[in-house]
Amino acid sequence: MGQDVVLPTSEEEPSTEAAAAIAEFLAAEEAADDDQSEDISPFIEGTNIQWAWDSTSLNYAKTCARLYQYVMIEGWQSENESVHLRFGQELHTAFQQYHIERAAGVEHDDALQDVIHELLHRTWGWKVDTTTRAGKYKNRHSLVHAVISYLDEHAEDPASTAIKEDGAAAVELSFRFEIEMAPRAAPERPYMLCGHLDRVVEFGGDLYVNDYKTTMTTPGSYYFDKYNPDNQMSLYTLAGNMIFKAPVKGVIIDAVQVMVDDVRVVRGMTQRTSGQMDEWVDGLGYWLNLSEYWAESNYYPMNDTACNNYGGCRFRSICAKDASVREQFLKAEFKKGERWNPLKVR
Amino acid sequence: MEPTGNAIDVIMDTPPKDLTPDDLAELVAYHRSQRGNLEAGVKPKKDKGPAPDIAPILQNIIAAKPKAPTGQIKRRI
Repeated sequence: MGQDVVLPTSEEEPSTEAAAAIAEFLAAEEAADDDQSEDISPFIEGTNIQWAWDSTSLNYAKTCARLYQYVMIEGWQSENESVHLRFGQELHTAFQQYHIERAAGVEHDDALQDVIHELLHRTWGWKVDTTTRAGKYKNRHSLVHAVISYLDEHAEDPASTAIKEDGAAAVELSFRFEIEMAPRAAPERPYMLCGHLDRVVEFGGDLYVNDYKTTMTTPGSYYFDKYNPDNQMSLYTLAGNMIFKAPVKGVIIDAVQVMVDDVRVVRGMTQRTSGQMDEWVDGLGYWLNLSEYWAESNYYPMNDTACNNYGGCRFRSICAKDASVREQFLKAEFKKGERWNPLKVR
Repeated sequence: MEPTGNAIDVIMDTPPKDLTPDDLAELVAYHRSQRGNLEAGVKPKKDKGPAPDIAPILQNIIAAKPKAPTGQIKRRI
């Protein structure tokens, strides 16, 4: 691991013009400590108008209004989703713990053993159906293998964890900030952008957000090309600028390809200019307006050009049915769980 | 990755509070040993025992193979 970096303490405005459009930065990390935040709904009371947005919900909205309806409004989930979600969350938690220990001076092997021990504790009793495709790839064994493989791969990471002004390692940072725009139905409540950054690193003298991805496909150049343009990476770059009040160049993406027998770890990078960030923020207003219109009209049209993206939408088979029987198939193939809440601290 | 059916499975199935540093070291060492084949770009071949002697089989195939037609091939458009 390289030298730790003390983040700039400049009081200057965020470097991008897009960031300047942000009205207020609302205590990024305090949000993580605010237990009550889990109870706050991202929707305006009594409506389906969403006022707090993260990259996940924005992705749904930008991809397909019907997908957004099924997941964000109605909370439909599949079993496989919970496997993917759990696997990803455990991976993130393990990496977070590792980087905190390393930033505190713990040696690689010791930190790794601590991380694995904690991981075994957290996942004790986690059973997945290994006869399913998701379970075959993502289970407790493959999780341990993925964590060891990734951390060994980056034991001497040229991208060093940034150190915040308070001396803490810049990992798993929750962020929230309001923008100068509000739903028409509730002008007193500005829209909020929120989410979590896995890590902020110094690399080659610049600051980057570091994001972990698990994938079951090969992370070649085609894989990384898809992150520009990309909603999540643009939001993360913007958030990095807001949190650190310093130029964040983009996102370093660590892709962990999970295979049946092994793991491949590949690193890629995506950068954003201030002009690109301005454009992203401009577009954001359009999508937020549109989502409010969907909620007001209770009409979420399907985008039938997006059904086959990324191996196929999970709801493709539902949308393929006649509207009169769709609800029955939804109930048979999915279950209604807790709705995704961008404000929930993870 | 499937359970291995060996000492590693025993470690994985042991309540974490009962694991020793040696157990954890063994687990890490095992997973490290499982890497490498991929990094070399070669999937490990399964041991199927000694290769069969295919020479007689090959001879039979060659003997049975019809001879190439000698007639003129018409040009297709």
